[in-house]
Amino acid sequence: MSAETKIRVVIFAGILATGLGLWSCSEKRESITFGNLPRESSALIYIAENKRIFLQNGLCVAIRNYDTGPAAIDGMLKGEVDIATASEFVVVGKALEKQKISILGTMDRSMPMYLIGRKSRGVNKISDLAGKRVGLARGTIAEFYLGRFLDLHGMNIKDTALVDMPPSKWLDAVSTGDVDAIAAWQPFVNQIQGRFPNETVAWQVQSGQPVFGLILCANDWPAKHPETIRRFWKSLVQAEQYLIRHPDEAKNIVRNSLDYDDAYMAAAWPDYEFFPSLDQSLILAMEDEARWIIRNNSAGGKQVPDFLDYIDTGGLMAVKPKAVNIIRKTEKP
Amino acid sequence: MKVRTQFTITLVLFGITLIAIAALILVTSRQVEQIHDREAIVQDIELGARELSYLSYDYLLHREGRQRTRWEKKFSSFSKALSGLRPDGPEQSALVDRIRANQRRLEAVFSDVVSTMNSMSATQGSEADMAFMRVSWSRIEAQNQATISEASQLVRMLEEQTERLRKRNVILIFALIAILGAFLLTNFITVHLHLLRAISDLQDGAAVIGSGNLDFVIIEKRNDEIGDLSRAFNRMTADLKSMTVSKADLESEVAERRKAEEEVRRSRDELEIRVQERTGELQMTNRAFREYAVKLERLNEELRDFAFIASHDLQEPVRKIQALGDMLKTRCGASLDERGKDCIMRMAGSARQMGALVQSLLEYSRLTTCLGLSERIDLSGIIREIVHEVKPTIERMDGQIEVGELPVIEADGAQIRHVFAHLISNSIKFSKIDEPPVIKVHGQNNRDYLKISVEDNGIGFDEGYLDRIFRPFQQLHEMKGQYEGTGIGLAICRKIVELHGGTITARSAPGVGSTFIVSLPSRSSNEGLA
Repeated sequence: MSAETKIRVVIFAGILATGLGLWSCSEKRESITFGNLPRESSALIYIAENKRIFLQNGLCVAIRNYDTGPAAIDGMLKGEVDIATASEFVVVGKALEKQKISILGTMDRSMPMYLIGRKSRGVNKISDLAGKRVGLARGTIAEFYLGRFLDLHGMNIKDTALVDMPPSKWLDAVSTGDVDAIAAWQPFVNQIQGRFPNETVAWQVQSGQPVFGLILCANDWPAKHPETIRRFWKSLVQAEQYLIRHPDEAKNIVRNSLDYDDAYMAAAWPDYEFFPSLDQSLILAMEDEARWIIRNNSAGGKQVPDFLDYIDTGGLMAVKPKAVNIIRKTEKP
Repeated sequence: MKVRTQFTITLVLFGITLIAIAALILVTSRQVEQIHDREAIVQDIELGARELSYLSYDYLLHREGRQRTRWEKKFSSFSKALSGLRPDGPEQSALVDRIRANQRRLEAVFSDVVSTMNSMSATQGSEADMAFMRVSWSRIEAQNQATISEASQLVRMLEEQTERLRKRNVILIFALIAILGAFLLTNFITVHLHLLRAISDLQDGAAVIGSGNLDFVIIEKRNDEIGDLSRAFNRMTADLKSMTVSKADLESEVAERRKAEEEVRRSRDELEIRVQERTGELQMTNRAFREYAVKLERLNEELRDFAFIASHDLQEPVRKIQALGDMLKTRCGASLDERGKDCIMRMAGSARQMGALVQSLLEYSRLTTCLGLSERIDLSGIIREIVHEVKPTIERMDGQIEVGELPVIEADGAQIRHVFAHLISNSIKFSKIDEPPVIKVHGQNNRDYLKISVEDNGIGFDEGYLDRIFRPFQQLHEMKGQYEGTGIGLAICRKIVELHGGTITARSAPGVGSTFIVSLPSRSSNEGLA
């Protein structure tokens, strides 16, 4: 089966699944489409779906997968999905582009980002990256982490030759030598290291700063669908409860949903924290990332946006108020 | 269920409820206290994260070792507080795990920042420094804010837990009180409706029974004290009824008895009348007897007087006949032929015999009167005197008299002496011609009687004539003419012995000898034979 045929089959299957999902929902339930990133960070989505928590809360959620956060947000902005997930860096970029996005909250924090270099390509230490072709998905948080990582090690992202490529091509690019190193997240990191045992060198590039898995929607959507958002958050909070109380079963659900093996799950799972929240660290991280973007001229904006304008706390506050800890704007007298 | 059991259960339930409430309050207080302890630790952690935030900024701004040292000390106490935190439940554990992850990242980031700053300070310019400072602050502060957020969540979670605990406690207490209340209400209703109704039934029943209807039965529906009371009431009614029946029976029986007693009284009266009649008749008879006895006594006395007078008066003509016979023999003896002399001799002999008969009759008649003077006499002495009197006769006959030990008795001495003198005299008189008489006098004392035997080896007699020998003027035919005597001696002996309350008998066989046995009451014997 050729690659083109495979893509057609996947798209057909996706459409069929979406159609069947929507058809299966009763009239009383509200149907929404979720733009998903098929990774561990979407564990709460998988659990809520698998345990029929969405349905129990009157939601019929059709899941549409995207390769990257920017693709998911673009899909959302195009109206392909109602709600999507992406890292905070993607939102920062969109905010600098004045895109009308609302952050409803985060559903996880994780540390899955690595910089992998091939020793055979002359990458043994960080300084070796100078002038090397580094593959990454541009506009994703991998770009920020790589830049921050290089900054902290006396380099600049511009010292490398960045090669934009989707995650689906990362393994091939490393294999063929199209790139000397690659800024990737799990599970691709394990896949590459597995393909080239003892031939790679890897650095955790997040410099202690976790990725926030955000729940997003168009900024006019919450006002029209407050109850939907509340039910959505309620479902995720119930999924979190299930995960806390049944960690092994939850892990199995995620593993089965993503078709991972046990060894990988055992190694990668500790890098993730799953909990719906909205706290000040998110604002800090986004502002930091915005400043980084501005400094590196990666986006059009020159001013750090007030991200509080992009945050809608209503849904999460209604379901899990104690998880909302952000310094809000002072009301004008 | 018994009323007592109901009350006991109520008390026990009440006690259990109180204990449960007290235990709940106690347990809840301890749990709240533990939660407060955890809350205090979490608040320390939250405060520690804020202080670390301030100290990080201070250090980034001034880059002095003092600030770093303060940060490190604060981080150490922060870590210590965090290690002392014991989460309760999986949700709290998840939060604490995230705080610990933040703590590890914060330490790594700060360490990285310190390391970088140390290397940069000498080489970088102020713009780079500011950029680095901003980045480092963001990196550090992101961890601090995450920690503050999670600690804040944990505090609120603990507050909620406390609130839940208090609510649960209040609900439990109210539930217990409600259960107790429901039980008490049910109990009250049960007592009020059933118990009072039962008591009312009992009262009604008592009223019916009290009015005299002993056939009324109170229905025993309950198995409690009221049921017991109803049963007791029914038993009492039954007993009362049976008692009433018994009373009627008793009254009937009493009437019958009265009737019977009346008949008995009537019979007794009749009997008394008869007895009185009989008594009157008896008295008359007694009177007649007494009169007859007096008459008899008078006749007897007259007879004794007659006998005495006759015997006494007869002695005079007998003595005159004897005196005239002697005078005739003396004056006319020489002139009388043999035939005349023989007639005179026969006349004198008959007169002498008649005199002896009169004398004996006189003695016998005297004995019929009464016993003489009773005195203490030594029977041995009396026998010795008698033996002394007959000693010449015995010696002449080569006989012998053996006298054994004899008692002192209380009796008429002269009469007793007469008895034994006559018996010893008889033994000598009726001895064998060819054999010297051997006479043995000895006594034998038992508890009731004193026996004195006079035993001889004389001619003896046939015991078939035993009755005759003690009758007056009765002599055995074969002895008539052979031995002198009037035939009244043994009759006098029997009379004397009988007057002393004793008896006299004999054992004998012809040719063997006789033994006369005198039995006297032992009260007459005081000493001697014991």
